[in-house]
Amino acid sequence: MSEHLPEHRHVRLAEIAGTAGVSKATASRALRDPESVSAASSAKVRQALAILGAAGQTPYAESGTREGSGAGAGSGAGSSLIALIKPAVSAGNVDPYSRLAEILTNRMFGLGIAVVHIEAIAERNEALLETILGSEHGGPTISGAVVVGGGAAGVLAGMLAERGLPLIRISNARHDDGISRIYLDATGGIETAVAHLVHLGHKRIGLAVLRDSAAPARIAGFRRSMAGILHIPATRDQAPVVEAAGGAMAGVAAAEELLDLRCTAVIACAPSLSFGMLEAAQRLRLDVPRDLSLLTVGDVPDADVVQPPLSQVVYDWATVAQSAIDEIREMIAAGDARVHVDYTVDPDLVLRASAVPPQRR
Amino acid sequence: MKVTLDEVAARAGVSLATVSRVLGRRGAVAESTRAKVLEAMSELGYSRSTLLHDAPRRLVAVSAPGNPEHWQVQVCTRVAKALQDHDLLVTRPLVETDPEPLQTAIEAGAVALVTTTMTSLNTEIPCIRVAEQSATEEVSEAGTEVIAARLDLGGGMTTAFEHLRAIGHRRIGLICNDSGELAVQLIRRFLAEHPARNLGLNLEDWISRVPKSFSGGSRAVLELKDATCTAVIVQSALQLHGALHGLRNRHLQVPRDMSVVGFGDSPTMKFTGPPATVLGLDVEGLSNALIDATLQTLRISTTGLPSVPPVFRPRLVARTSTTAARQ
Repeated sequence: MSEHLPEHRHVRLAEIAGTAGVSKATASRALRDPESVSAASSAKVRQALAILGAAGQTPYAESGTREGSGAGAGSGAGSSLIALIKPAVSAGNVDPYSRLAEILTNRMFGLGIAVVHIEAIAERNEALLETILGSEHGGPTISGAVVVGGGAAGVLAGMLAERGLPLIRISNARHDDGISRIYLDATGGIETAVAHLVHLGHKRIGLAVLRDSAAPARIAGFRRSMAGILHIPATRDQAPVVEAAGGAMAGVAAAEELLDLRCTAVIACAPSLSFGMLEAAQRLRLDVPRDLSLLTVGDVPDADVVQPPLSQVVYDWATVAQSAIDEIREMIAAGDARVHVDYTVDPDLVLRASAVPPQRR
Repeated sequence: MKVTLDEVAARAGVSLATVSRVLGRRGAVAESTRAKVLEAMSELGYSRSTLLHDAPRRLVAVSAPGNPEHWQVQVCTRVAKALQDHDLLVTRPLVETDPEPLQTAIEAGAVALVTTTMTSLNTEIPCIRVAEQSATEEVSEAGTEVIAARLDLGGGMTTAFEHLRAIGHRRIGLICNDSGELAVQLIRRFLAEHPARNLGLNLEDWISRVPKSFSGGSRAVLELKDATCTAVIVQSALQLHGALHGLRNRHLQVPRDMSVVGFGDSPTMKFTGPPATVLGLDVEGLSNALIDATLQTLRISTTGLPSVPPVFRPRLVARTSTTAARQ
């Protein structure tokens, strides 16, 4: 059966001519002898080859493209690319790493490194792996990757590491996968958040976390902080925790559950959960911060301009991004002699206006 | 009658991306799916004469301008995801504010640019973008620009004006960016559709061109307040946040003292003080138009584009930042 596969290996001349907007005769001459046609036509044909992904593929195109312009149209040989891999975020959900990805992208482009953006999806990872590493099918070569976040991106990172691509992960869970990593340790941040809320006078403090691989460490950290700071047994009853799925609606449900438990303050561990809290408060006609104090661990978009401005436990993304870029460049340069790195980054508390002393309730 | 890959995909009940993977023998396709696709091809009599080839690995730039609006980021993300499903590599340099990142991407081998900016970027590679509905731009000489969709800003302005006029506003101002094609077109449509345009007033007094920034917004809204405007339309989300802040600082209340309409929706618009009334864009429709045009340009899909690009008219999402004008 396989020999009857209707496969297409070569780009036809008519197609090149059509894409370039020149006649077949011109295209043919441009490919064989670029000197024989006008510079404009030659450029058009080179571009068509790049668009069709045929640069360097058609036997006689090779010499044509190289001679035509020294810069080399399309094949991109020689320039290094670094992949930036993130888990795909479903429509309507909030991406907790958008700010970090933006800084990474802009800094790398600032250094003259082109960034290839990959959104990892569990069921597409096999195909993505081939796309990332398959430079024998033409197109640019990717020399390393920065992997932000977990989930499908973490799985893809493992697959890429097995194939020997230099990698660095930035994630909020720690695994023994042998991949270099910058670990965003939220437990310290949660402790700071608890201490701040207790200092304001809150006693019933709830935690909302996403149900992911980072959740157990966060819940344990929260319980430990509550027990240590408030001197209470950190039971389910005294230190309520809600685990939520992704998405704003799950955030709303988690918020309603915590409000039912008469919490006066909530620590939300993801931006989608914070938006859920705000939405739930709006629905119940509760005022943030008067009726409910809210602290977010992580990055809520526009946190400084919404009403009220949200207090946050955030990482210094600029430093994290710069370290990741420095490390990955070093790893690429070192080749097989690269050293394993493992940092832990603690977040800082940024106080705005969403947490105040408890008023009633 | 030529059989297209889209028909094959429909017959096999799989996506176009899967069909191209089967054809190109690239990526992972389940054996059962592969068989289904091949069966559909033989049933339909698909012949290899179509333009599709073995989907070579290519790099495509998907770009928003610096400090992008939320809708621009959303559209870019959707486009990037769809192109990735066709086994293309995606790079997302910022454009418009700084030419360097795009140049880096082109040197790295980007073969086309898909962008949500309306400004013509004069790229050497094909540029697939959005334009204003009535904008008549000359097609660049190299023919590298593809207009995939048109935004009906005039219609959007009319919607905003109708909403504000229905609740008694006449003195309506505009806060827009001090550069960029979107601002130019917004001003044009503002002057053309303004309810007070025939009253012999100088409408220019009610337009404030400021940088796309928080402080720009606060400054502009107070200027327009002093110019006796009772309502403003704001181009950028940053300016909108700034405007709300500026009014609050002056101890003015939104919407009692000033009604505010934003351009482009985002999750945070629900939680501004007060929740902002905005002109929302059809992010999904815009994304799909850009995706279709890109696949066409790269000769991945051959269904043919509509001869006239689809037009998208912004829709009003009413929240609580607008209210009846005080007499």
